[in-house]
Amino acid sequence: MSSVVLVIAVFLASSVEMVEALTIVLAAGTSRSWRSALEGTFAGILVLAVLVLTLGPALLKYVPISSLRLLIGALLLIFGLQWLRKAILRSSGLKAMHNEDEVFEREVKKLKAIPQISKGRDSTSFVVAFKGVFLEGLEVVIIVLTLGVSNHKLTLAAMSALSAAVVVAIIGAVVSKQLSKVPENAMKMGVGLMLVSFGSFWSGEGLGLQWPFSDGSIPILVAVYGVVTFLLVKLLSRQYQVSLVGKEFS
Amino acid sequence: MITRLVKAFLMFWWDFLVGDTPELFIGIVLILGILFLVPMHGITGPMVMVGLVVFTTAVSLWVELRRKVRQNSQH
Repeated sequence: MSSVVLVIAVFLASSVEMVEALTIVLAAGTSRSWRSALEGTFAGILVLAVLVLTLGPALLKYVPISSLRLLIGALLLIFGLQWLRKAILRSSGLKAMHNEDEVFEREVKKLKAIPQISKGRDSTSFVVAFKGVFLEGLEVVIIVLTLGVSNHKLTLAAMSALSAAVVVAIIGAVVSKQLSKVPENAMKMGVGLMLVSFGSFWSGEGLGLQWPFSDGSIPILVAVYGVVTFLLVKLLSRQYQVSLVGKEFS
Repeated sequence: MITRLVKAFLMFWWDFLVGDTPELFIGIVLILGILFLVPMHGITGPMVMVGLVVFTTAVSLWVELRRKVRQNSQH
């Protein structure tokens, strides 16, 4: 059961980050050079793959499993709560939704303002695409490593992340447009919930807590945190509306 | 060169772990510290952990709500 949650968490996290990376690659390709933008993209993916292939087995080999679980659990809790907090703030209206169309327009404008030095390879497109893919992908690498290593399913986690990247790339190539219709916030909330659940479970295991049903607790944790998230969105949204109405009357 | 690389590496982890939500980082450290220092048996440990994670999230959201309300009242 935890494998299913792991695959969904990694797939969603990778999809969210790759949608953001795709916007940057498309901006670099359409405004400057497709060839250099694609080279930058592949270089970024290559560096990320090397990171997973070297760090994953090394962590498993050299760090004791109980310390690893505590460390990974803590990382997942911090990372997951950051994602969840952002998604709750967006859902309750306290923070603006992420808009891929706006990001695309802004990137294109910025890139067009930089003069092209030669007719051949465009280093700006390469660097922008590389940075976009690498920085967005780094979060995915950390999720793949933490979830994959703690569950001893590194290959499954890596494959799930890679398949999400391929799916986003294919859809991006077919529609040749940034994917602004993707329900990014809902996906982010789902990933946040799963990361917090895995983080609670693994850090608890690292500290010697006794979870009922062993790793069968993970889906229960997802459900519990899901209900709390729903209530927090409602409560926060109402409190914010009350404060706005109060301001209008004062 | 090495100093710059080390600085960039540390900055990455600082941004990644603390960033603009230090209360979440402090909250998680406190939760793990409490669970490490106070021995809990059976279901109590997991229940305390879930409760503290929910409390930390609520505090962080409340901090942001207060900040946003204060920001709105200044405009």
